[in-house]
Amino acid sequence: MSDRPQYLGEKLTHAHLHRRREEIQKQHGEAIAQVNTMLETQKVLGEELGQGLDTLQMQGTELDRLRATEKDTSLLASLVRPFTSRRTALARRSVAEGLLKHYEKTSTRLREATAFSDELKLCALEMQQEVDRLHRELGQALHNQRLAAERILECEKGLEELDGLKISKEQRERRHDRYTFDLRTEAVALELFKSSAGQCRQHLEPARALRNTVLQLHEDMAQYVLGATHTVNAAGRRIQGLGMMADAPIVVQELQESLDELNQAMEATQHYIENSRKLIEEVLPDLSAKMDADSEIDVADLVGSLESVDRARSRQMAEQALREAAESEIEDLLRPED
Amino acid sequence: MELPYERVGPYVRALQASLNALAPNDDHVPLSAALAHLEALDPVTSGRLLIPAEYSIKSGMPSFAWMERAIAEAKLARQSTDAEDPSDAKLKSVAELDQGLATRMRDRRQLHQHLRRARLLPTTRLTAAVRRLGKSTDFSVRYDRMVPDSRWLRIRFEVRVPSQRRSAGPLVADAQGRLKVGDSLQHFITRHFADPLVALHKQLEEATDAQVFRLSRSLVGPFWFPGVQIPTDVPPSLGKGLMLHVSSEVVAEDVHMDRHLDPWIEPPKDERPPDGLNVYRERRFAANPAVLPEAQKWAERLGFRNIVVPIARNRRRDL
Repeated sequence: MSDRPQYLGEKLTHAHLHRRREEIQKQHGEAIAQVNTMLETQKVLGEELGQGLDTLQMQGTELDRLRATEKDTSLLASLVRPFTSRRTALARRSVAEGLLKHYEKTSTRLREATAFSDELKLCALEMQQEVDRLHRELGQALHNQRLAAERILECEKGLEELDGLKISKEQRERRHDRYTFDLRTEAVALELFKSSAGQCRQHLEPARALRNTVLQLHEDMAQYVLGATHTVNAAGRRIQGLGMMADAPIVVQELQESLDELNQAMEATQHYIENSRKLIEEVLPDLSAKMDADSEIDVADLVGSLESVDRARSRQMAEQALREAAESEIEDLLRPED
Repeated sequence: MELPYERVGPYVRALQASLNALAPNDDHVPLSAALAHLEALDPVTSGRLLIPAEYSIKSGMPSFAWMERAIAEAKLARQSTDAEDPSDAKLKSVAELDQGLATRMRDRRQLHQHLRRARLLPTTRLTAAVRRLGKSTDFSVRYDRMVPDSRWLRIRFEVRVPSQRRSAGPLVADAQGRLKVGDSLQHFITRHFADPLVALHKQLEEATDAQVFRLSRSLVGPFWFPGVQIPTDVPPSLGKGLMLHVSSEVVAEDVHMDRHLDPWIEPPKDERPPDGLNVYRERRFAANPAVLPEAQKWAERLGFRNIVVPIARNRRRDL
């Protein structure tokens, strides 16, 4: 008896299955809420960076205007230059200070984006952990399902062979009772394992989709942070020299280069935020709808199935379970790993 | 120039030790803020979070971008509390999923906890206070800045107006002694901070329409070490060890005679301090044993004694 294959995992009961279903639904609900919160964070980040971009564009336009004024060699421009030089110097100074403040703000947003990227990675890892758990449970359920099916068929075989055995009537009745009891017990177990496997399969897809969504967000964010950090660092090196030269003509060129670099970073941000928003706006509602539909499949269905277990059905179920287990093994071999 | 990661910690700690050895006074940027800022940059505190660790090839001081990253991180740190940081148990569970991520989260927690308690050096900051409301109205102004070659500058000046006046240009005190400072003063100093000292003194008197009875301009840096461009007018051997400069120029009525104690910079020719004020200049060095004797000999050869101090060894910390 000790060599007999054992069921894997915790002893499965109707209550256990119900509890696990609720737990998975709760976890998915929380994960969707978490991703929604992340979207909110991104929206705030995007809006702030968007405002920064507007400011930069204004500063860039102003710099272009200042440069054009300086290069204007017309008689009128030469005549008025002595009277406007102070105003031009003040305008340059104001742009330089605006740029420095904006740089500091952008730098802070980048630090925030870097930390956020790590949050996304953690979220993706935790979701992968959930996918792994569902796979593990599915594997156990399929193993147990096959085992229960084999046991049912063994009992069936035992019952069929009972009539041909040369044993006493009492012994035959005792063995018949034993087989019948085992048959019913294993049939219930098979139904539970089958339900557990179905539950895992049902939740795997949304769990995988959520993980992929967050992974995509993380990859995009990490790539953006890498590029933007490089650009902002380069801009920082130029900006460092601004104060000393705030009134020198060369500063206009330096400023323009800084602005161009920051503009690139900001444009990349906008592009990224738009992409992420689209991703989440399309993926999340679908997932939520699927989750809602799944939750409507009541455990009462399972109770009904358990109550209607009879010998013919349990034999049919066992054969079906073995076929499914074989198909599942082939499927597992063919499917790429998550 | 970028420091390789394994050299970041030794570099930052060498700079801290040099600052500790020189213990710059209140004419310089605040020592506690400078040390706290460097501690934030130290990989022992922040891991790889604040790299790339860049320094100015001319001054050997940490670059503006590197220093500013710590300031930006400090702004983030103050948006949350220690209680909101990930717990040890959380970090342990994350480490089981991804060791690299767990390390970054632990570094960020450590850095934020440090930054919530520390005051850092500013990129540019002007602060002012009323020092006296009595026989005269005195104002004290401090302007701190990371200058373009990455040295740390403080310009400090004391302004006096007659007692019946409560303002000195952009400095305006109310009856309770509360002070308002117009933005124009910071812009003004930003443009002129590098002007010759006596010219700067004159410009500040014009800008404040008041008597500036003490003005100091002090710098921390350069910090020479192998990898920094050593000026051609000093022995190249001085660049083979660690050597931090702190320098001050003061024009003040409490300086009783002109003195020049800077072996590196010649006194300006034809400098004429305002009546009743004299100019004092000094430069001190902290050097490690590799260059200490050479640095002392160089200074003595130029006629300056006791201006080089040894760098004390920092408490050793493992990465």
